This record gives sequence, C-alpha cells and structure tokens, in this order.
Amino acid sequence: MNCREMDELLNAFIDGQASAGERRLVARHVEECRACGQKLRLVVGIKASVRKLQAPPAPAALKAALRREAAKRRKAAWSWPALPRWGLAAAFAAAAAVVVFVLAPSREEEVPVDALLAAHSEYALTMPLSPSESIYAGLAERVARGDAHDL
Amino acid sequence: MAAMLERLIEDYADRAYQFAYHLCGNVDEAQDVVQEAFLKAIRGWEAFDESQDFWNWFLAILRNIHCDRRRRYERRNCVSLDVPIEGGGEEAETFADTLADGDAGCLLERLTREQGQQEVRDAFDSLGEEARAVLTLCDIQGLSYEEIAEVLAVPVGTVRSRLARARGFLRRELAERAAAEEALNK
Repeated sequence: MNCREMDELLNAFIDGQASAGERRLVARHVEECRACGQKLRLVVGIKASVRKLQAPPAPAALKAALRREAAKRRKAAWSWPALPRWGLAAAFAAAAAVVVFVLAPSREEEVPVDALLAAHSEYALTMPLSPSESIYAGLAERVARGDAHDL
Repeated sequence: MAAMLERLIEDYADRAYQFAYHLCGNVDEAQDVVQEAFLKAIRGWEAFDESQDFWNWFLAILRNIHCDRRRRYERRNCVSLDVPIEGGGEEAETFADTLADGDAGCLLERLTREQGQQEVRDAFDSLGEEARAVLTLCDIQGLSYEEIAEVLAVPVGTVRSRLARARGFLRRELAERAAAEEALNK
C-alpha cells in the first residue's frame, strides 16, 4: 500500500474507526515510512486542536425564542384546523345531547337544550376545551336570571 | 407534547447552536438556523421514526437547512471534497498530499503555541462547508463514521474520504499561513 492509499486509513486509525486489519496495516506502514509517521502525529495534533474549537455560548434569547415558537405551535394545535365547520357543529351537538342525558340536572335546575347548545358554541369559538373545565359552571344561574338569551 | 418540546429545547438547544456556529461561522446565522431547524423538527415530529437516534436526525435537519440557506443566498465556489482535482492526470494529486514532510514538525510546534488555537480557528473558518461539516461532526460532536454517514446521507466510504481530504485541506491551510507569517517576519 502506498502513502496516498494510506491517507484514509491513517485518518480512520486516528478516529478509532479502523478495523483490526486496517490498524495492523497502519501500524506496519508507519514503522517503515517516516513521512507517514510524521503525518500521523500531525493529524493527531490537528484533530486535538479542532476538538478544542469553541463556539461562543448560545445567546440567552435563543431558548426563549424557541419556547415562543413551541407555544405558538401548541396554540395552533387547539384550533382544530382539520375539522370542517359542519363536522364541528355536529360534534358539539352530539356531545351536548350525551351530556344532557348523562349529567341530567335535578328538576329544579333543569337547563333548556337550546341554552346548552348555545353554551357549547360560545366555548368552541372563544376558549380551548379542557377536560377539567366545567362548561356548565354558572349556566343554570344565567338561565334562571334570564340572561342566557344572548348566548 | 408540551413537556416533550420543553425537554428538547433544554437538552439540545446549546449543542445545536454549537454545531450551527461551526458550520456558519456566524452568531446570528447560527441562531436563525437553529430556530428554523427546531420548527422543522416540531412540524415533522409525527414522521420521526423512534428507532432512529433523535440527535442524528436533528443534526441532519440542521445541516440541510444550513445548506439550503447557503444555496439561496450565496454563490460561493465551494470545492467539493468528493470531486477529484482537475488537470492532474491519472493519479491526480489531491490537496491532501501537498504538504512537504519537513513542515510537519514545525506545524505541530505551532499548534501548541498560544496563538496556535486562533490559527486553527482561522484556518477552519476558511474551509468549504463540506469540510467544516465533516470535521465538526467527527472531532467536535464525536460522532462515529456510521452516524456521520446517517447525518450527511452519504455512504461510510464517502465519510472516510471526506475526512481525509478535509484534514488535508486544513493541514495545507495551516502550512500556508505559517509560511506567510515566516515570510513577513524575515
């Protein structure tokens, strides 16, 4: 193997990426070839110097900027972009119907279905749904006061 | 998803910036590249195959964004490490071979001097993008040849030859700077 062919093997040897056979070839060659022996030492020195190259510390604003982008992405995920309008309305109507039967309030607090559907619409347009959020909070009182008509 | 994004930012932002800086050589551009890469990673998250190494996947995104920006905004002639030098005949000499043997010892000595690290920085910054990418991934990020091949989407054999040529370019650049300084001091 000549010195030019040895160049790649020398570099792989220095990087710890040479096979056992390649390592033997390199070891044998540098014993016999002074120039390649010098080149090997030089490449080791250059690799060590490159390894020490420092980048300046990341700007403090970088992580803040990334968090802002991530927050925008999370907010966009709540806007249900994939659902067509009719699908969204139908989904809420179905959910409202289920809730009326499952969480049926007592006779004294019975809430009209129209007011329930209207409340769903209000929340769908203005706030993201949260499993922990009670969308009926205060609705019965508003209906009793008579100011649910503007929902 | 929120917790995952926060962990990504906390664990990888600094390392990503280090890599971008060595590619770009510029603080502002490195920051832009990292932001763009994070956005792309977030958008492409569902397509990410969890059997892959996340960091290598992200490095590939980062490097591709850097290359796209360079293609769009610069028309610099970058010498590809994969292209043989023209006009050299059958056994075309590569840049890697032009260093005279006797200079090796002098160069080693210069590297250990106080100013040696700045000389390496300047010489490194003057290299083409392919050379800087492969040296950064190998010597600074510490990736294996297989991992570098994955990031750069090239065969392992190409990684080996690019590294050998990149270090050859760097050796030559350092030798030329050393010779120029000695000529000035005479």
